[in-house]
Amino acid sequence: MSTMGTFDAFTSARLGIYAAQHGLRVTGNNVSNINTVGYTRQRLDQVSFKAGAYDRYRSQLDNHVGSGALVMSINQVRDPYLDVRYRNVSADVGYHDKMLDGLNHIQSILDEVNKGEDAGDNEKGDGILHAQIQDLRDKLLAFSKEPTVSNNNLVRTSASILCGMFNDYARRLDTLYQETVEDFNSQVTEINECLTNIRDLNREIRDCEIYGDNALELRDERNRQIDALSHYLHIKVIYTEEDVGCGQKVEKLSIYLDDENPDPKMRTDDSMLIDGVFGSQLTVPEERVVLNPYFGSDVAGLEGVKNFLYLTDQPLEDPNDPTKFLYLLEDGTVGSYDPTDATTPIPDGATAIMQGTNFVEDAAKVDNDIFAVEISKLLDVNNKEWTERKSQYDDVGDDAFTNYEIELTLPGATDRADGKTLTVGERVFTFKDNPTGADEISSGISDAELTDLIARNLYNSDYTVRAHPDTAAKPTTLVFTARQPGSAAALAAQGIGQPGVTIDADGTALNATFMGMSQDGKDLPANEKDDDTGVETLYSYVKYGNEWKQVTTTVKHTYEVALDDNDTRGSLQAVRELLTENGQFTTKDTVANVDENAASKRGIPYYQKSLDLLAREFAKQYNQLNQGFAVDHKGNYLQDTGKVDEDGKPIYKPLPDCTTPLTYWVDADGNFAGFTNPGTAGAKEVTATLNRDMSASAKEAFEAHYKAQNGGADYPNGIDSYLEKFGISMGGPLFSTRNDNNETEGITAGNISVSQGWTDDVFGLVPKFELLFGGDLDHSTQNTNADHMVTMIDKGLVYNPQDIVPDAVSSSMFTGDFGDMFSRINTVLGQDIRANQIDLNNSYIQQVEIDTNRDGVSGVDLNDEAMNMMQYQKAMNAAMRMMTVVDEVLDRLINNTGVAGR
Amino acid sequence: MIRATTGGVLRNYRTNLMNSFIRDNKARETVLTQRVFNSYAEDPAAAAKAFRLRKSRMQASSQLDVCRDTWHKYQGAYACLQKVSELIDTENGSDLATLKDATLKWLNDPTGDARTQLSKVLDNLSDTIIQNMNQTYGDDFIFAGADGQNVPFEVKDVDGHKQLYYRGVPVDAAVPKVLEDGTGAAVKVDDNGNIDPAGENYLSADAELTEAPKLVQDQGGQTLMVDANGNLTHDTTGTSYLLGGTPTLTQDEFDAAKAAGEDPNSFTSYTDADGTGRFIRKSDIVSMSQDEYQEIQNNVMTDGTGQPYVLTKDGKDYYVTKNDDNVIAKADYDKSCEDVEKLDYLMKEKRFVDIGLGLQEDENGKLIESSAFNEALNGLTFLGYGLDEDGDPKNVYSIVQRLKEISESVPSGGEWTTEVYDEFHRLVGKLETAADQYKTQFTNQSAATTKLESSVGLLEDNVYNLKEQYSELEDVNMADAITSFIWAEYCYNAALKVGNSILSQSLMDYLQ
Repeated sequence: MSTMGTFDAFTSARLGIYAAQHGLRVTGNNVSNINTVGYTRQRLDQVSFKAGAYDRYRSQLDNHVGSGALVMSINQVRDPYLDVRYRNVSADVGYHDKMLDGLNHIQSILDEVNKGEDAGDNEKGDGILHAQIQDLRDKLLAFSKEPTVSNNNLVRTSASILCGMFNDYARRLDTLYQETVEDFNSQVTEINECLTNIRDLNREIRDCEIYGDNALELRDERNRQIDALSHYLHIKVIYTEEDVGCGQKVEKLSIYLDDENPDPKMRTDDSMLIDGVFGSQLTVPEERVVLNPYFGSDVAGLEGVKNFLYLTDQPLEDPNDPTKFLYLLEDGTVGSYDPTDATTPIPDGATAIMQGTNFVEDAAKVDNDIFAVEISKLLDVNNKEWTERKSQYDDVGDDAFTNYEIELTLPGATDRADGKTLTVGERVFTFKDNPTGADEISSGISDAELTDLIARNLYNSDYTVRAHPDTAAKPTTLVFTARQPGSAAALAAQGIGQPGVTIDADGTALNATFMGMSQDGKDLPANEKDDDTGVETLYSYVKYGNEWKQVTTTVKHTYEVALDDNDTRGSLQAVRELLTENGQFTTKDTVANVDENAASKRGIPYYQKSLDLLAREFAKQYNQLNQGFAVDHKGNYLQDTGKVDEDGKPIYKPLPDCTTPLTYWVDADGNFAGFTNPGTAGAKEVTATLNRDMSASAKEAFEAHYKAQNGGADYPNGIDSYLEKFGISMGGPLFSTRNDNNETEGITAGNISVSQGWTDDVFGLVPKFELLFGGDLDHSTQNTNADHMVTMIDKGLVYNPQDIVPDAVSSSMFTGDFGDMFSRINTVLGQDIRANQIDLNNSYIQQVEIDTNRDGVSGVDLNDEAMNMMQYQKAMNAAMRMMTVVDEVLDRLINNTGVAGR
Repeated sequence: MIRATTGGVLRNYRTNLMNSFIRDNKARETVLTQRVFNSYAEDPAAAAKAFRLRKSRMQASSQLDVCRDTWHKYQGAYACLQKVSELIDTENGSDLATLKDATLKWLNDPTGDARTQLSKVLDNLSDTIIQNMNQTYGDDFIFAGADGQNVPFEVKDVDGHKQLYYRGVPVDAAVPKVLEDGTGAAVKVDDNGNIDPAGENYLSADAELTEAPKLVQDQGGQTLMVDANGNLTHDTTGTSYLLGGTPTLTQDEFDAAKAAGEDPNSFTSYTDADGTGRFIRKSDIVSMSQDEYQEIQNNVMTDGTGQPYVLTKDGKDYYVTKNDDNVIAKADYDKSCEDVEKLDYLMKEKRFVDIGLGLQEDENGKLIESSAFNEALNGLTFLGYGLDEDGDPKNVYSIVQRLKEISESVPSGGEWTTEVYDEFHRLVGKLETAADQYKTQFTNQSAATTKLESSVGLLEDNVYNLKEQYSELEDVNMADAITSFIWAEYCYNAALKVGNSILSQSLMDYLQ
């Protein structure tokens, strides 16, 4: 039987008390944090303790007993798989939640279900814009019946209200857009806060770990931050071990984007966001549209450009010569320069004229394309850049390297005459028969002295310089030898170029002869740097004894990554899509090069442009209807004779071309084929007069006929030019970009207005263009043009996105009347909302389920903790009882043993 | 789930409680708004369809207004036409029948008082017709075709006659019948009154044609004349011209006559242009005196050379008797043609309105006529216009005015001549024809009125049906909605109750 410590049992009891105490503390901590967000249940890691060791020759009866319990650590109970699932689905919830939020805001602007005033027929819910379109129809109908000034004004008022509604919807969408931009920026800020917090927590946890602390509370906080980050971005979290030296390894947490882009070629979608103590930040390069500073100016030379719409801040092209750019001289005149022609530079004092926009509201906008997010380089808290350096040694053989050498032959004795110069780097020496200064060399200098002098001037850390050993054959030749092995390219990659000198004599270049650098005749690799990834591969050579080793060092740097359109998911991506997606207005280039699915993604710009398209089509149709030329009852265009009849009424008569036939040829299909016989089968000669209702071929013939006059100078726009010159023009554009102009180009929902001409009664609605029998016959209630205006409300029109975005991917968005088009916009919006609602519900249910599961592992449960409390309480009581028992036993042993017989 | 933790249970409860509350709120909203959906997103297809139906309803309402308006206009037109119909009806008991009887009685009125009365009655009758045809509905003249804002019929005094104008065009306008030559080309007159193909004026078809005397010439081209003895002269010594209608005998016939015993001196002879000898019995000679011939020459129209113009027609040569009244100035001719063109245009004129027939334009922007209703009521359709083949007016007003003028043409106290009576009677017949035409058009118009009435009914039904249709889409069944709401509220209350029990119990509560 081995010896047994008298007080061992005390130790066991003491350790039991300690362990129970710890257990109670952990339990208390768990109960305290039951409502702490992100708190992970902690658990005591307790082991059985035994002191001492078995003796090799111990007695078989010597049985060792354990010495109690030890608390090894306190751990968290966490399931990494659940974390991964939670964060994946969190990105989905973030995406759909934010997208749905944005779409709901659009809906609150555009959706007219259950909206609209009671029109007096107890019919609420006719909509607002819908009802106003019908109101306009009713007013046009009244005008058609009685084309009075009063009815014209009623139509104008109704149209003005309609324009106001378009403006209001557009303004509210624009406001929403601006708010979403702010939301986007705010999200970027929040993400950056998360990234900074995680990086800093990583550092603190790392420090704690190095000192042996598990830093459980910090990990909880880090998990909370990662969970928050996963709502914004789709991320993957990777835990690895980092060797901190001395055989100690600590945990390293890295966060990457989770390979969201479906394009397998894209590598930016798994960019690193966090790597241990290094963290990146998201940045959003901003390019705001600048205001055209010359808008409306009277500067001579800018007439042609001052009213243009410019969207960038690039130099402004000369409208007369696009290869040149404009500048403004101090005297206020404008000139242009050709950037490729150095002989005509910008004069002194001139300032460049930059492009800008004429619309103040545009100037406040951020260009859609610039919502591309960039990930910065990874920096630690001291702004030290993240690098990863790995070196590998390769045996390159025993052969000695021949170092890189260059031979340079200096001027011979005949080129050292008095006055000749020799340039060595920045020093210029002059050969003199009688040298006096430091930069003067005696023209009678010997070859050896000259080579020595120049060699001393060229000596540097990259090369050694010496006279050629074969002085007899090459008395004036210097040999430059690189101080480390490598080819010219390899050396150049390390910044060691040719000797940093230029030597010439009196302007005559001295040619250096490259001796080459190789090992066994092979070129040695040059240092490399991948411009895309920033990875450097460096080669160096170490000599062990006679053996050379090639050291290949790979140095990885982080670099700024511009994320592609689909590189992530989560709420940030949802806001990006809300700000950038154009649906069918997406350009072909974007679909081809950025996102092939872009045409089916719709954000605020899609709804803005759809509304613009509706407003523009509406304005276009009514502007066309209200402009034309007077015709008689046979459709002949009329001209004013300048005479009046006995009643004082002007006398009109058909234009000459309306009565004089034009002869032309048509092909077998009846298409215009020119004015001479085309010689094709079925071609025939036909005649036609100019008429509003003429055939398509006749119209084409007249267009060609007029455009051919005087080389197109007389009638550049064909029939229209002819009629503008000789016909009787009626009406004018009803809608324009502003109330104080008649400009019809660039009408949008935001700017559509009743034109100045209509507002000021310069012209009104044209009820009809027909002047029957030259105006002899009145037909006051047969207002054909007003009838067209009425039917136009219900006419099916093709809405072409290319009217808004010229290179849009789609050329036909919808066919229907104005009301149908507006309804279509809302239907698409409704379907988008529904789809997102369903996706959100699904992902949210998943998230709750996973979170509950996660809570099942990591959450604190009161029943559990109550059990633990009782368990540790009992254990502690037992340990204390044990101590009492041992105390009593020892008391008996010490104080009451051996007293017998006293 | 391995463990059900307090936090997890609470989170689940919270989520489910929120879902329950959302459902409760949604059910409440449904009851409060009484609508199945309150946004496109809730039911995009139904919302789009509901807006289409609402638009259709708004348009149907508008069409109903137009249709009612048109119907009322047609009802007004019917009343006016009915009144005019009564005025010109020739059936027994009608005004015109009474007038007709009275006229016949008054024909032989010795004093002329009755005729004076007749003239006034006819004048009043025509004025009343025009007053009725100038009636308005609202601000529009009913029978003004497509010019509702201007009075359609206007009576002007032209050369002492009352001339009816429709929208500024004389209703009796007709293309003047002009004289044509044998080739069918109009005979033109220059500004000097000569007939000249290059002239621009026309000659009325009423111009008097006189058969041109056909003189006879001998072999030498000399015009043959007849002397006082009945012998032919080959110079200008004769007293009259030999005319082409004089019968001639050949040599053989002359020989036979002599053999039969006729006196050779009773014959005279000449050699014609063909060199054939011609014998004429003096008793058969047809001649024209020089004065008579000159008289004719002086009264016929000449060509540009001053020679009488000869119009060859049906193998005969005619002179055109000189009469300035028969010359129609180009401007007048063109005006008449334009007036006729205008009348033809006006008769085809249409004014389309949308009464729910699908108002639509073709790809060229032309109205598809079958998709709209032509509401234009052209007064001339009822009253007639232009002249008939007899040159009489076809317009009711003009006929009545002519009757009036005939009545006035007989001086007071004078008696009607047979010609006047016949003319009057003939025109009464024309009036009856015009009245028949009027009645036909009146019947057509009545049918259109009936059609409009039925269209009003259809549109009313349409508006109601459309309201029903979108009501079915949008409006909730209140029984269902309330039941759903009560159930949702019940569920929500139950969820709240469950929550209370979740929070109340744990092992902690049982620790001593």
